[in-house]
Amino acid sequence: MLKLKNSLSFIRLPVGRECACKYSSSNKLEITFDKPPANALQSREGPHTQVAEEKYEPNKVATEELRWRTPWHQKEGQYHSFLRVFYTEKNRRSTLQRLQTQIDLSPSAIKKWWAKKKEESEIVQQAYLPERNQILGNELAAAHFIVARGGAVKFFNHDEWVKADERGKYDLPRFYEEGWELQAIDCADMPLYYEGLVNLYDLRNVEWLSLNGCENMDDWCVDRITNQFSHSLIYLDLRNCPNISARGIGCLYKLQKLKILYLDDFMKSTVYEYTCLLLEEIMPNLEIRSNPVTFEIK
Amino acid sequence: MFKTTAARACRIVSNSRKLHKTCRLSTENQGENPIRRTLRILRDDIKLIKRPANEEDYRRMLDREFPRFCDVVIIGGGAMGSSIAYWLKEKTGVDGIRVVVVEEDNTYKTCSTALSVGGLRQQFSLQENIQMSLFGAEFLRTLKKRFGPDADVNFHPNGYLLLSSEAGAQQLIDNSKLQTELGAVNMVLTKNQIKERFPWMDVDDVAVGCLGLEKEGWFDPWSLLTVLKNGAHKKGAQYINAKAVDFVFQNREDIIVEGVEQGNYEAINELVVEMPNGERRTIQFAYCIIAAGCKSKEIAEKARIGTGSGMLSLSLPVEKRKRYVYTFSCRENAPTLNTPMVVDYTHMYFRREGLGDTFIAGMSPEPEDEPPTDDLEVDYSYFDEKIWPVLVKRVPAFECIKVNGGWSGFYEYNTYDMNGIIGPHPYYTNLYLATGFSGHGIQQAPAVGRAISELILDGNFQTIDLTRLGFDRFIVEKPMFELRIV
Ligand SMILES: Cc1cc2nc3c(=O)[nH]c(=O)nc-3n(C[C@H](O)[C@H](O)[C@H](O)COP(=O)(O)OP(=O)(O)OC[C@H]3O[C@@H](n4cnc5c(N)ncnc54)[C@H](O)[C@@H]3O)c2cc1C
Repeated sequence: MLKLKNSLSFIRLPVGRECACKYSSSNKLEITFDKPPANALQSREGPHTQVAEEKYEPNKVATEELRWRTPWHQKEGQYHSFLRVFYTEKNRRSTLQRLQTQIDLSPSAIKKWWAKKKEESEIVQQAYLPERNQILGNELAAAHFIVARGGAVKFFNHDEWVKADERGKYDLPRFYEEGWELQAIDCADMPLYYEGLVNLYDLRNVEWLSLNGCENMDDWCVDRITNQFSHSLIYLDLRNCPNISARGIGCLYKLQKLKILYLDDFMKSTVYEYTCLLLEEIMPNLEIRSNPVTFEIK
Repeated sequence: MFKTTAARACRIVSNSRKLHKTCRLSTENQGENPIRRTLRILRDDIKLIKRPANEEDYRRMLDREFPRFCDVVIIGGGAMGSSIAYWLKEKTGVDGIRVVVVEEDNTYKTCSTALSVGGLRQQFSLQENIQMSLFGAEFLRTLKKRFGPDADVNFHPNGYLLLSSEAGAQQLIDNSKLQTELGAVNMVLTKNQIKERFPWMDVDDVAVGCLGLEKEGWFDPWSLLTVLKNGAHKKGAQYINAKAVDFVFQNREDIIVEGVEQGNYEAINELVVEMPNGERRTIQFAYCIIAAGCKSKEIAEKARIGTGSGMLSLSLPVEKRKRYVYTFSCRENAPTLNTPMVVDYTHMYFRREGLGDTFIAGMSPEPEDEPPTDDLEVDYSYFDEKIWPVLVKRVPAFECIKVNGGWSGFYEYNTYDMNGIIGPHPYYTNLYLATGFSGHGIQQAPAVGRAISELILDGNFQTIDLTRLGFDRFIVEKPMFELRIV
């Protein structure tokens, strides 16, 4: 068992700030606590304080102001005992944990571990890179992000879809250029994660989005998408996303212009079906389709 | 003859042990023959040597034994307690520190976690609260990765809409700025924009509103509790069904605590619990955490917090406050999917419940309307007199509604500044607090659990710095109130 440093923990409040309590030369507490400080524990009645007293702002209180005593070892004339040698500021908790966990070398465990590692690295790779957006601008950065991972995009005033060829080559400007505005994004069958969606923020006018076959999409992703494209999206394809539930569908009303929504099978369950009906009710322009269609993308 | 000397020797060894109150413990601890005691402990240990290969069996075997010793004992197995237990075990592994959760009610009938509304929002004014609930959202999002594909808390990503009158408008806008800076996603809407988005709402008396666009909504608190509890248990935390009733004190002259006269420090390292059959037993611990929700003050007083002298004269300002939640249905013209959780500036809130025409609503009462806290009875006249008029004003369609029922729960209300009290108690070297969340605790449970585990295992906050929400704020008199509390 991991031994806790029980008696050492009293050194946990560093930095000397004498606030409520002052120490005389004899190191004795001068203000005793017998009487609670004036307004300390009087209940500030009523949760209805809309605006608190003037000047005092909780967010401006610095952490140091909460420290009101000097730890023993930082006082004048005091020193660390030699046992201090064994005490480091940085704990080696994770090492201890590793030592204490049994290593499972069964094939299934290794497979699981490998899958987890792969997923983790994929998520890291999909993270938002500020440099990418600085060099390319939001629209082209998003396009590069999608196309490099096997998706396709289409711009306004460009007739062709942009998609990488078998060797991963594609033709897009490498620096910011005027006149590239995304119209459609096709993420079909991409291993897109929630973390990757940050790259799609602040796009001006995306009208068409397909997440067909993105298995990692769940309600949280829908939550994010409905925010990102709330002002522009007209067409949305959510087929083959098994993790999106009725609750995610229920918040698609935030997409103000949505006209066409593709779902697998809106009769999946009664709740799902009812949600779709309610959605169509509050969005008169919306048409929910669930028959399979194929698109040709060059 | 031998027996009495041995008993005396035993008493000399544990010389300074004193009981706080005249509670009789089971014979086990008092004057037990040391040789017997050694044998008994050895016997217990031998039983544990033969470790079953199957983790499940091993845990079951451990669960059967009453834990006389543990590294960390947590009082209260609600969302907070379970989250702390989960994080402590998550960070140390199944064979790591031994964590025991003492929970008096296995059915969780009256615990606030099960009775809460389960709202998740980042719309706070205090930095720590925003950060904690951002982590709460992240935790819920990645729940399946931690707890397996079956873990689900039914999150409804419908957002929160906070409405403000003229007086609070500036504050609302400032808050929104801070929230956005910290990573929340929301937008301030004018009266007309609100009207446009939510045509069913009457906003004539509203100045502005703030609508959460991402990571806000509501979830099922009971599922979260189950997920956390099972997760903690699976990682090796032991839950025992018992009520924490007292502490055993021990004078420790060798421990020096700043602010306590040298030689006077009385340590606690044993908890007295009462089993369901009335038997009292003790658990020795290295660390104790009080996460007993609205009953935290009771148990803190047993540790002399608020009854002692010096630093111990400051009591834990956590009180029970009863809050009603009513369910009602509205047959005609009811708002449907596009209903966020709406929080009025009168502190009335309502949201959709399920897909039908059912809604739930509640309100924080004025101080003079505080209901008694002896039981969980629901006072329906409060709905008719106070809530319904406000509701109808906000949503004209709620003119014809039918109240279907309701329930009530206790806020663990922090009377000092209505925010959580998280971190060590300044007197004790091994007592931590995690309570006082006053109505927004469930979304903070994951962050608080992580924070307490960092304090204990790493000695410091590693992720979100919650120093300002510690007990020390009562000493230096720096209240950390919200500039708008719901
Ligand atoms: C009506 C209502 C609505 C709410 N809405 C929201 C919301 O929308 N969003 C939000 O974030 N929060 C909300 N909350 C607040 C939230 O529920 C609480 O902050 C949170 O559940 C606190 O969890 P806890 O584990 O600290 O306390 P609890 O869940 O109360 O758990 C404490 C546990 O300790 C046990 N216990 C107590 N004393 C002892 C003892 N001596 N020995 C052993 N065990 C003991 C109790 O049995 C209990 O199970 C709401 C609360 C209420 C009442």
